[in-house]
This record gives sequence, C-alpha cells and structure tokens, in this order.
Amino acid sequence: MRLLVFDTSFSACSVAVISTSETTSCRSVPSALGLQGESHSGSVLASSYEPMETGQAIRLIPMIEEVMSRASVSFGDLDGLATSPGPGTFTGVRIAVATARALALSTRLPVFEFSSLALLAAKAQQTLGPTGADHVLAATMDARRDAIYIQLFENAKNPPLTKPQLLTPTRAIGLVSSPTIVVGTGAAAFQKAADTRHRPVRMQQKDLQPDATYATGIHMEAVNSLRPLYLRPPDAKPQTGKSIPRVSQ
Amino acid sequence: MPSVSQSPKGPPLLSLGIETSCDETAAAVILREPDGTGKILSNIVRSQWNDHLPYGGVVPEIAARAHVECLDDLISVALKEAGITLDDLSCVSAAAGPGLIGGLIVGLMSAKAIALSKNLPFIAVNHLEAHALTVGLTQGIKPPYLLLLASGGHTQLLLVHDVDNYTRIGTTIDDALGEAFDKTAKLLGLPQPGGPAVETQALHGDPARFKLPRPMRGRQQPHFSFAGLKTAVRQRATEIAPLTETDIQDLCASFQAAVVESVQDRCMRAFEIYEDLMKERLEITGKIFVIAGGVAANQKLRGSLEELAQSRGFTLHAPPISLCGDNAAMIAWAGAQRFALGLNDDLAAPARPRWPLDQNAPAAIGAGVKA
Repeated sequence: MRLLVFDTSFSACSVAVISTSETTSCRSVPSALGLQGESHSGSVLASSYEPMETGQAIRLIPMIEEVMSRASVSFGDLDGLATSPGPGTFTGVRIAVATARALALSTRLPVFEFSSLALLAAKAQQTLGPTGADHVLAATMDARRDAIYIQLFENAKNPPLTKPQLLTPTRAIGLVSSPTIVVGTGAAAFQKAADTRHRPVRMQQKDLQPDATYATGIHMEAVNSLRPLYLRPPDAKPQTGKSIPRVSQ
Repeated sequence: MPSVSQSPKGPPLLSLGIETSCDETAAAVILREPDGTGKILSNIVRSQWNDHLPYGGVVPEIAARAHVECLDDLISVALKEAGITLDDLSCVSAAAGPGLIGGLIVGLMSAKAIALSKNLPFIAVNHLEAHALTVGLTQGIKPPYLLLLASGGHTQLLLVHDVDNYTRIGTTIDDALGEAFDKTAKLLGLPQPGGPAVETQALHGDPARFKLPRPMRGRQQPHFSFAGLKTAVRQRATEIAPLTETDIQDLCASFQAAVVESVQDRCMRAFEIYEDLMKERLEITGKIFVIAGGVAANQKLRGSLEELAQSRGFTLHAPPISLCGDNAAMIAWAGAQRFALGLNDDLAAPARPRWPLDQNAPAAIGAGVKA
C-alpha cells in the first residue's frame, strides 16, 4: 500500500511517500487517534523534512510535488493519503487538514489520520533504539501558556497507551508511574515537574519535531471526514455591555 | 502611462474560485468566453454570522475553524450545481489576501492541492481586485473606470486602468465604511451585520434630528475617516439614553445621512482627479464610476452616488446586491481574467494578510495600518 504522508503540526514541514505492508485492521470505535487502527510497517520511497517556525503553507505543496517526483509516483499510483490533524498549532493542523481534504476531494483517495505525537514517538524510538521493556515513552510538545501536549507509548509499533492530551506539566506527571523517557519540546517542562515530585524521568531529544519520514511503523486510522484535533478552544470571550441602554419595554 | 484596456483573449475558460478571507466560506464556478464576457455557473456562499454573533465581531480563530469544516463540501456543491467535475476546469483560484491569515490559508491550501493533483493552473487572487473586477462579470464593464470600493475592511477610491493595474487615489485613515456601520449598529444594540440593520432603521428615522460631523469634507485628497463619526453617534446616543425606538431610528438616519454626504463629497473630488488624469482619453473611454464591496448594497448610498455621478456626466455601475458582499464568483472571475493574461502563480504563493492593490500608493497622512 502506497501512502502520501505529510505533517505540518509544529515547527517543521515534512512529506514522505511510503510503502507499507497491510496488516490487520481493527476499526471498531474511531474515537481516539491511534487507539485502534492499522499498523503498518514498510519502506520510505522518498521523503523531505524542513524545520521552520512558519511557512508551511508556502512549502507544503511544492514539497509534495518534489517528493512524489523523487519517488516516481503520481496520484494515480497512490492507495491513500495520511496526515496528522493534531495535536499542533492551530494554523499548522489546518494546513494539513485543508490540504488532505482537498486532495481527497480531487483524487478520491482514502484518508488516514495519525497523531502528531505518534509520529514524534516513532522518530524517537528509531533514533534512540529500544527503550527497555519496563520504560514508558512520553511524546510531548510545548503547547505554550504553561501546558504541553502529551501522549504515552510503550513502543511505537503497539497501540499508544493514552490519547493525545493537553495538560499542565504537573498534571501530565500524574499520567506516569513507571520509569519514563520523555522526548519533544515539552520534555524540559515535563522533566522539571517530575523532578519536584521525584519521579524517575529521563529527558532525551528535547528539540525533536514530528517527521513524516518515520510514518512507516505508526498506527493510522481511516477517516471519512478529517477534522482538526485542536484540544483547545478558540481564545475568544463573548462581548457584553457595549451598547447604549434602551428604554425597557 | 497605462494603456486603454486590452480585453484578455483566449479559449472559453471554466474557473473555480475559493473565498475564505473573512467570515464567508464560498466556492463558485464561472465561465469566461473568448470575447471576455463571463457567466456564473454556480455561486455558493456560507455565512458564519451565527458563529460570531456572541462575540460582537468576527473572531479570526473561529472563522478559520469554520472554513476548514465546510470548504471541501462547498466546492463539491459548486461543481455539482455548475454541472461539471474538477476534470473540466481550466484553472483554480483562491483569495490569497488581504484578509485574516488563518482563513486565507485554508482556501489557499485547498486551491493549491486541487491545482497540484489535477495539474491545473493556479491563481492567487487579490480579494480587492476581485471586488474591483466584478462589474466585468455581471455587466460586461471593462476598464478603465473610477472605483469606490467600500466594505467592512476597506474603503478606497481607485483608478482601475486594467487587470493588475491600479492607482489608489483615496483611502480611509481609520475605520472602513462597513466597519463604521457595524460599530454603530453594535452601540445601538442592533444585530450584525450592521449595514442592513442600520439601513432598515434609517428608513423610518429623521436624518436631520442629530447634528453629526461630515468627516473630511472639503479636503484636497479624497481620503475618508469614519472613527470620529462613530464616536459622535455614541455621544449623541449617550446624552439621550435610555433610547426609544424612535431615537434609534433617528440616530441611524442621521448617521447614514452624514455618511452619504461625506462619501459624496469625497467622490466628487475623485471625479475631478479622474477627469484630470484621463484628460483627452475620456472621449474614448467614457466616464464610468463603479461602486463595489458590501457597502455598495446600501440603497441610500447607491441612489445618492447615482445622482452625483449623473450630475457630473459619469455612468454609475454596481454589481447586483448578491455579489456586493464577499463571494467566490468574483474570485473565479478575477482568476480567469488573470489566467487569460498569463498571470498565473506558483504553488508556493503565500497568504498575504496585507496586500494593497496599488503597491506604490503613499500612506495617507494620519492613517494607521489599514490605509
């Protein structure tokens, strides 16, 4: 199965064309990202990763074009599109979701979603090597305003232990009891909170960003209508008391 | 000097347009004939007014979230209503600015994704240019002409020389005209959008009851200012609060009368500048005055500008009211006009929250970032 994969959830833009062997698919309740779904393993035909704070809206489409060209595939050769609807920056997840939805409309290819933190965990595990059977891997990203996005994994090939969540570092600590390796841009805040509670946490790769190149082994789920996973409401308050009083009726 | 407009030529074009710059999500298909005339095949607009109602104005993040939820469905509906598929298209266009960046990105990514996967030319359309060229689609009016573009975000007087060629001669130094209507409606407790609400109330009001300023009247350059007028309305209203229904009607009528007089004065000055700049070419081109943008839907303003134009030998043209507000037919049309001239964009085109039509226009004195 050939998939076009892309991610623009945080401070990078990445695209890959991967070839996966289809494995068992269990699509019972499509509620939690990656908790059920398809597990793939396979190879990367071509990929590209560019770190950037902004500019994903400029680079994504040209990068898709370049990577597909290097992989020598056209849209007709693909079996699906895969992207992360979050967690991520609001604009970042919308770039991926709008692109995936329009590509799906145009190509009629099925769409698969995965957690940006699962992609982060897969990258960490491939670069760190085995974490040890008794360790939990916490994939975290800085969510600003004293919060982090966090999702726990035993091992990227198995289903995640939790859904992606938005928590303060202190509350995030409450998720773990076993020895933990924490990665990603939320790692420093997580480690600091863990230290004050004397939890066994080891920080690795605190600058890690999700990268579509590592999508071959992660859990994905087929979706009919891809929707952003914001985990946070818009920052807006209803307005009151702005109009001049009227004669009551 | 810009030349008299050469109408873009070429084969019939089917153009898909996408508009997500503010609080309307829209998709449309238009047909452009080789002779440069156009026809709307579908025009789907979903307004987000209800989503923003509790906040008293458009919330950018709420707008962006709403766009991404429904844009692909609107595109499907627009294609279906036009009786075509993506494979029939000649080009795809999206508004790339000016506007709210979160929304612009949703429309832009969708258009680029379709362009890439269907191997179609892509055009990043300036939303203001789309308003400026709408009369070409609906009435076959070709440049050059003088344009008053008045909406919730912009109030400008422009010389439209041709597609891609504009001279800005006037702009607002503070609030846009539509914004002044919205803010007036809000302070009087009227529903949004404020333009239609104020206009309806003004129908039964006394325009002479409240003395309000006529901002910028008599100034040499045809700039606008509406922030002070809005404050004056607030002051008059506060003095007589609590307000009766009649008070509100009279305040709306007085506000609208002040707006009309101010805009008439500014347009009269623009007529003089236009005549002076065009000189002997006026014999060939005629004197055409176009009003566009959401505020062009205001009947009082339309009527008074029609009279003013006639008195000065100008013919007034305005798009039908349904195409004064934001829509995607105008984006599809502007995209087709640009494509016919070979003005395609590449797939790396950015969203441009600020994107003046006339890049060389100096900032108006006293103006903030909106000018």
